[in-house]
Amino acid sequence: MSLINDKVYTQEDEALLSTLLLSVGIMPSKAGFRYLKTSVLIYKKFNGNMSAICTYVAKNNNVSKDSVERDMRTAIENACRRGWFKRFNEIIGVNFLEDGEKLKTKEFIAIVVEYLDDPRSKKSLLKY
Amino acid sequence: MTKRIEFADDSYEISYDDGYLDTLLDNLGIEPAASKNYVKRIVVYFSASPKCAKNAYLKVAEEDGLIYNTVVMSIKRGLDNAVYNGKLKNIDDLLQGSVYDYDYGFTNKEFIALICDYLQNHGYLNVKPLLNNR
Repeated sequence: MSLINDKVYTQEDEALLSTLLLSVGIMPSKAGFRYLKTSVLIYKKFNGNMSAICTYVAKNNNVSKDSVERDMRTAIENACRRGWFKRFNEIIGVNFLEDGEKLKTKEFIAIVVEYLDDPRSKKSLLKY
Repeated sequence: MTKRIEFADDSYEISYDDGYLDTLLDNLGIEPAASKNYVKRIVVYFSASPKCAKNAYLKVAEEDGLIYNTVVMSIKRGLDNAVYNGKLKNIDDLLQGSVYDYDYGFTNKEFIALICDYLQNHGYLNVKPLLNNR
């Protein structure tokens, strides 16, 4: 089954994605922020294949695939350590993250993709 | 406003809304004017070289005949002033989320990257890499 859908991400979606990442404590000064953003936007195009996604992002940024994986992982870990990652529960409206629990890169990207595809998402972020 | 800049072996054409950026930094309380001017220029240069903020600092320092630390400290002073006058909190309204860290504020790089990302997302800043003819 293909994950590809008709959803075309607009500039507004990108702004929403940036705000979401910032709200959970991922700062744009880290390379992982940019890589995560690109990965979310191309996730469905590559059918959720993380290896292909990382290769694509690495090629676009003239870095190695390992570096992309590491930077994204570090960005998520730093956000967890900062304690802001718990906000993710409130933003998406489901209590699935325990205190200090970490998400894998793919899990995080997949959840954010689902969140972006939900038309109610903007409202929930604004409310938050 | 359109600017053509060169970093190492690459050249870029950067178009940005100077007036909007000016108003934005005013609303966020970046003062004095010298600090605001540095932030503006660093944001523009940083958009072309997001991997290393130091390149942007060096470029501005070189243009003004200053040392790197002068630019860094000036921006830090501008950010400190913004924290003290309480206007930096407006960043939450700007980005429509809870982004401001009340305990630690922002580092220079975080603030610059944040503004740069915001401007790019909203179409106020566009970077076009140019083919190198050398």
